[in-house]
Amino acid sequence: MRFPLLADAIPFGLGGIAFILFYLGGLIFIGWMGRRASKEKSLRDFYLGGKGVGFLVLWLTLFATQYSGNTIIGFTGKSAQIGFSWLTAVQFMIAIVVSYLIFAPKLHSLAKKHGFITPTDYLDHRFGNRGMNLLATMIMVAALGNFFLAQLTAMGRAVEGLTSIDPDRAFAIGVIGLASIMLLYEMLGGFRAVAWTDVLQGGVLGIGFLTLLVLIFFEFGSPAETTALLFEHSPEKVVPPEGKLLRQWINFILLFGFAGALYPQAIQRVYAARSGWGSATRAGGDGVYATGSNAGCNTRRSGCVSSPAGSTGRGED
Amino acid sequence: MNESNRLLRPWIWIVYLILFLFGVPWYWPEGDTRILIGFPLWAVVTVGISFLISCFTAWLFLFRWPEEDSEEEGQE
Repeated sequence: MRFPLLADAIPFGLGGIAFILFYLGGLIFIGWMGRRASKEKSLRDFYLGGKGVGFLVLWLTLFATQYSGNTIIGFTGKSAQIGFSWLTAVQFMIAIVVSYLIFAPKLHSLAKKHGFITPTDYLDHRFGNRGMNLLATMIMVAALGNFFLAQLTAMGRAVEGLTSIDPDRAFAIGVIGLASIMLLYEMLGGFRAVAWTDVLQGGVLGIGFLTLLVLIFFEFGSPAETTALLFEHSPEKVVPPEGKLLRQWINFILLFGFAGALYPQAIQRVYAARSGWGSATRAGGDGVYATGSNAGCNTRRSGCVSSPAGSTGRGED
Repeated sequence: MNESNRLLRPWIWIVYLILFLFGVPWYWPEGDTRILIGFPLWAVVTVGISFLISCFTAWLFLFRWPEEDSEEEGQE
């Protein structure tokens, strides 16, 4: 009885609606599979998937997390605003991976040796100060809160754009509905569910972006035609950046390069790799910095769980 | 210099510095409108250098990453 209403709200036809429902149902199913695959009831198993994830899953989860709501909503909008100068995004993404070279090998080694689970476990190991752990946790939660809200906004806007119902209502439905689904599968399967659903999402995103790339040529013509059209209407979006734009370019590289590598969810990825964290990053290329998800605090989804100050996994090993 | 510091050698960071120096489009003439393969020339060069940075980084991960993060490395 509800299906006709759904068909009115989502103008994709029955096939499109069935695909969306199948996809969302699949996410919950994968969460349940992650729960079944759980080998023990421990923090380590829930937050890092036991002994960690292997090469292929880690690679795809990194890909899926990189191309998150930011890419779909934020970066495209910024490109439309400032034009080719947003190519800085390519470089600040790479700068994050470059920053990993400084600390990731040592951190991965320490994490394996001492059974780190949360980002503050390293601080606890190094300094043994609960106050510092608490402060670090609060800073991370505050920083991630901002990121988290951006992802929720992206989800709401996506549903708003995909449906024909009242925009405010669509936004609320998008945020609450999608966040609930993500919370459910993450609570069910922990890190395994996050990584496995990322494999699915990574596949969908990869195919989608490649399709878009082809469609652009059919819709807007060749790059030369597009650039000429852009130059005609907004020449400032085509010429090399100067002044403020140039300063922003350099600042983005420095800020994102260092800060992005220290995202809590990124540090958790370093912990979660089964062995030789470099092996996944080798294949992941610049997708390695993993901006979107981790076991406990997945900013691309709902259910952001802060890292407990001073909580260590030593006892779980 | 031990295994974990193989990625911290000065020459690696000098290469990065040079690549990023030419990757940032600060040296192009004001209002440059030259086009190459349908895109602004400066943008093509920037993307090309970004690709080189990626290749260099991938090479480091492939051939310079400490082998299997040995236990000894984990000791402080």
